[in-house]
Amino acid sequence: MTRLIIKELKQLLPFTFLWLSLVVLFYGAELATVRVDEESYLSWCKEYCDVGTNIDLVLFTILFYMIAAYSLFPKEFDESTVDFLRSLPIGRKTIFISKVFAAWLLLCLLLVLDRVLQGLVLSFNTQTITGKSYWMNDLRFFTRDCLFAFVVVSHGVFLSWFRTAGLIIYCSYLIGLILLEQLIGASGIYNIFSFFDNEYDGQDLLIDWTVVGFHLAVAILLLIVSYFMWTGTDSRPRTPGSGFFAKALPVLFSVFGFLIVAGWMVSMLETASTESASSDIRKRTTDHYGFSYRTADEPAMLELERYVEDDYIALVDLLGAENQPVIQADMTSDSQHALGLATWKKIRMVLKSESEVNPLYRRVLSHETAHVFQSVESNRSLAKSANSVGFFIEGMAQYTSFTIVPDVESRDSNWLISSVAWKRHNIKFEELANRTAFEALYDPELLYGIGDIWVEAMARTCGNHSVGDFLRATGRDTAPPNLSGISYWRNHLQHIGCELELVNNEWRSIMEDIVGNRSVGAFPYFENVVVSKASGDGLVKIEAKLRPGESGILPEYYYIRVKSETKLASAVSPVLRGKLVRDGAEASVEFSVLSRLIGGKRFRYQLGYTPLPDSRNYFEQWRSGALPP
Amino acid sequence: MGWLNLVMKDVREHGISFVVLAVGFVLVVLIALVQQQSGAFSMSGFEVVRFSLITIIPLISFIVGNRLIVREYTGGTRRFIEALPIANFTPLFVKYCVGLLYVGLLCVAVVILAATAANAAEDVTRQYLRLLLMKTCVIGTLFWSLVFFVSFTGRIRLVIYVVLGLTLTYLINMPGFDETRFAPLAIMDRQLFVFERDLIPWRDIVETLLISLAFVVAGFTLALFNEGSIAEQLGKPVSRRDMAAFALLGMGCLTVYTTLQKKWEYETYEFSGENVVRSESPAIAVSYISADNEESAQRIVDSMRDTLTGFQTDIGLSDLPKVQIALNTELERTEIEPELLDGVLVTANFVDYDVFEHSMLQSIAMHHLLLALTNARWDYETRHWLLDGMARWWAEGAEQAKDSSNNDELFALALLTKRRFDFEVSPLLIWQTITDQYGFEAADALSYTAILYLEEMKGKATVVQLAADYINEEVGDSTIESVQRLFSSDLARFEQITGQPLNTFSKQWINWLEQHASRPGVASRIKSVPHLQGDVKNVVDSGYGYRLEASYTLVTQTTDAGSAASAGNMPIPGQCVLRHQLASAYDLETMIYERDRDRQECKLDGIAHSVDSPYASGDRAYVLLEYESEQFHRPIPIWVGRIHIQ
Repeated sequence: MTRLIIKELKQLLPFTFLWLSLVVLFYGAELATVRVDEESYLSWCKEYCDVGTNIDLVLFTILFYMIAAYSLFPKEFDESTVDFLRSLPIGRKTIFISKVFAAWLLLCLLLVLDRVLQGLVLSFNTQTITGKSYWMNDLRFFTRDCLFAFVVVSHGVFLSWFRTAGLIIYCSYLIGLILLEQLIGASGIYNIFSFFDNEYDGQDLLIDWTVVGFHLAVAILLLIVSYFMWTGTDSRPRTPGSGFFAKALPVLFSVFGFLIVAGWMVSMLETASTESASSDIRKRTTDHYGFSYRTADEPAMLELERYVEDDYIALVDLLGAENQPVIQADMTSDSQHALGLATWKKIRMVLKSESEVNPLYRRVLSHETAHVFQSVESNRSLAKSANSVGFFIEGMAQYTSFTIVPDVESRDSNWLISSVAWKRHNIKFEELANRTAFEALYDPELLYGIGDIWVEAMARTCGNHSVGDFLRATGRDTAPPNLSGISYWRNHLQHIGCELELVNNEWRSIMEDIVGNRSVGAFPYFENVVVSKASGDGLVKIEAKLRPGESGILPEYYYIRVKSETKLASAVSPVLRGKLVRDGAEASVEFSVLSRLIGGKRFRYQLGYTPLPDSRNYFEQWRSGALPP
Repeated sequence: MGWLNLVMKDVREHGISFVVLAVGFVLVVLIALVQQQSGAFSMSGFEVVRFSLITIIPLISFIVGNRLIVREYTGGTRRFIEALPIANFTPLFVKYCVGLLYVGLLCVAVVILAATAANAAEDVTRQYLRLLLMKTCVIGTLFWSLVFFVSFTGRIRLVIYVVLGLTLTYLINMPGFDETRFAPLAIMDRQLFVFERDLIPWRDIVETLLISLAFVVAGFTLALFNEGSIAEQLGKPVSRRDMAAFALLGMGCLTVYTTLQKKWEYETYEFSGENVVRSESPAIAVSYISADNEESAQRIVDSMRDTLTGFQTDIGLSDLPKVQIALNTELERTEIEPELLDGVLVTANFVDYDVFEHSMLQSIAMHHLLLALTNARWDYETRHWLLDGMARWWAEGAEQAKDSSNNDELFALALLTKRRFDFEVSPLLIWQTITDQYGFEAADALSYTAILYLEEMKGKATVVQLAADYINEEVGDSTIESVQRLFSSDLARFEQITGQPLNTFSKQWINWLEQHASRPGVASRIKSVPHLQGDVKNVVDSGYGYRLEASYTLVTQTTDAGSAASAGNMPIPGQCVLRHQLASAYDLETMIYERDRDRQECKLDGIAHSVDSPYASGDRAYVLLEYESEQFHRPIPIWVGRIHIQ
């Protein structure tokens, strides 16, 4: 057995060299560009040990381990060298186990080397805070990674029997996970990426043993099946297996699987096509738009058409636009999440009732058209710095659409909610200029209102032309490409002769005025939040006491937003309605959340309400929640 | 008709596999289409075409290359083909065409599938389909041409794929590199590939085809040069020569990477607009928002000019980095935010600053100026105290610093901090801990007094020499710099220049500092601050609601405030404040940024603070208890720590 393992390790030498050359490349690049004694544990391991899942890293790891697993069996069978092995007085079981064990052992040894190298590098930093080591977490990372290596090797051993078709099966599994997340909001323990979902209890890395256990069980099952598949297969060059089953099974399996899944898919697509065909899509074109809409929505479309060109030209004038793109507008969206979406010269939006065309749909179209202009005028550079300009992207679209299609009541309520949130959360511009950080703390939709006020401040301070000028400035050739956050704003505003501090000063002044002069709206506070499990029904209950705000009034509608637990799909965090409970002078709100939306023991959530009739919702900051034991 | 026989041979050999592969491909595309339809933010089913081009088609090209070429070269069966009475070029050309045709068919298939599944509202015109098909096939051609070339590199092909993939990833993620300006990445642009309906990217298409052609030529050269000896050699197991080639390739990639890392010339940042006061030499600019604040801005420019001129003369520098200070009304009065942006940029809400705060602002600007001059290296822990102390020393007027009107407050702050710690090692060597536990203001005061003591003992020339030693050294960006530090420790440098070991100096400095406690201005300030010890706990109330609770105890009654409180149960004057924020699982240098404060009387019996917390079990919170007194410009930290919520 030992000799067999050594033989397999030798066979895996090319893979080892590949890994080592990558290590040399990585360490060479890192050590040449950083002073290693300034690297902390977190700054060195970056996303690998940060909270959450790093999908790219896991994908790369899977790919790498798959190469090792695919190097075990197919080559021996294709080149008939397995016959030599089988002629030895060793059982087939021993051969199989040796191969699998050797691959796993090699990966574990490489992981040990990785940990040792990391330890050596970090030992250079002797500083008292950033130079701390976390050997317990190192051990946990190592344990988890070794188990993951075992799981992927088992997948690879199984899939390599199908040769190339195995890779397709794995792709289907990954896409299937995305689909599952989109359909039910989470893929649960089936998702192999959950292995790498970093969560901490204080400073201790947590390993989700439910996920690990499930995948280990599947891995062992796959290995047992693989054992029968590989030991029951005779060698034959260039074809998988030689018996009838070995030859036909991959084809039959693929065709059968294809027929079932493809049939289901085609029927879904057919349904969609039939629906769209039966709804009789119509088209209209104007000078700058190509509309597609349902016949049933024709009255709304005709009503909207009256305004679109004037609104388009008004936007061109407002931005001083140098380009006038023709936009493809698909008005058949049924999205529950967004009234409109936009990208390069394309808009998708909801269009239903004729009575809502002016101002709602007209403004949505103008808003989305502004997004198209952002892409075109900035030559797509705005999207590349989306994290720094996220608030401006939405705020500018709000600003232009409300300027072109006034809706005083709606805008006032947006501004009020945004200003109250700004005041209560102490939101700084620095946070606005980092969308990821902002959305990790606050309601993501706040960016619309706060951004709108900021762009208004920009127009007041630097002139109306500054909005369009800024777009073009971001796309100029001489713009420094590596700026982000506040530096990004300073540089581009300076280019158009505008100073960030001046704009920010005006921005805060507007919001102070709104908060100081407000006379409407109910903005209570949530306190003493309690998370508990409802018995039997699988629901998680969240209760919060209400302390009335300045107005003393309590809103009618309450909501909870639970952070999406999806790992692969970009899903929307679900928002659920709560129930107001009055007990004399006391008031509280109760929310019930499905356990699967929480996906684990710890979760994040926001509590909110509707402060004004027909207004956007106001949400507090994200809170951490943990299910009681 | 040799070529036809060769085609038929490949079809017989690989036909079933290719069919299975195609079936799998269609399956994946169909799943992706369904997934696209149910996506919350999906714009078009044609996005699946791009998705397929960057995921599944490269994979399939790799598999096809493996079957058609690699196996024949690594297995040696190509010799049977070479023995046939046909030119060596023909079988290779047939293989290239078969592979290209197959990958091309998949490209066409994915576009057709996407078009079939497209919603009727997508407005699929022939012109649009032709454009999409052209871009897809061009990229497909590139993939197959690349695979064709790499397949002749035998055993090292995996290394080449991985290195190519990593290089591409580096380039795409490199902030200074706009990948969308260069073919073939320009064709694959996330927005243009699917949504640009009118413009045909002819230049990018031609460039991509030329790159493909280069790969094809390289492939044929590799396979045919010297009767295929290179390809044959590469098909053998990995040798030492191969390892050397790997190393060379790695070094080449590293060179490209580090070269591209170099900064390019772009516009630098300078204040624009009218409300800016400037000084040409040394370069200083202060922006002040409105005319009302011009006087404050002018005052900053004047005092900053004096400080920088003195510093420049002392060290003998011909030029200094530009210092820009911006009025930022968003900040609290105690918040001063420095950064290195084309020199030094500091933002502060300086309008109502008094002498002490102006000095603080200058000290922070000076701190970052020194950082800029030392390639951001002077803040390494064992030398950081020198950076902080020197910055404040020059801001207070260097040789005039000992007579500064701010000294009483700074000495009192240093002494108040000192009474909280009792380290075995010199506090000057554990600067990260000092800053973390006592705040940067306390660190500033401690280091400043240390520099004053150094000046008193050794004279100004020694202080300047010590500073010049760090400022004038070449500081690199790589690990070589880290290794050099091991051979030139900060303790040795200090001893070499001052003639005194740092530990001895440290003890003498602390004794000297204690002697200043009796100075009237210092003593009155110290007495105004009760010697409190804080304690913070997280408590779980009924039903798993988490709260933070803090309490105080009086350590000694030596202060006026403390005596009054303990004698007659009088409340302690001043206010106690609790602030908290979420902390990382790993300890980092941090400071409190949360502005929400729980301000309470500093009561000694029972819980002083009890606040609702947004945390849950498992979180870590960075918590600060501080004492606000009118005698000090900044609150005095009482307790700082990270607590584990359980």
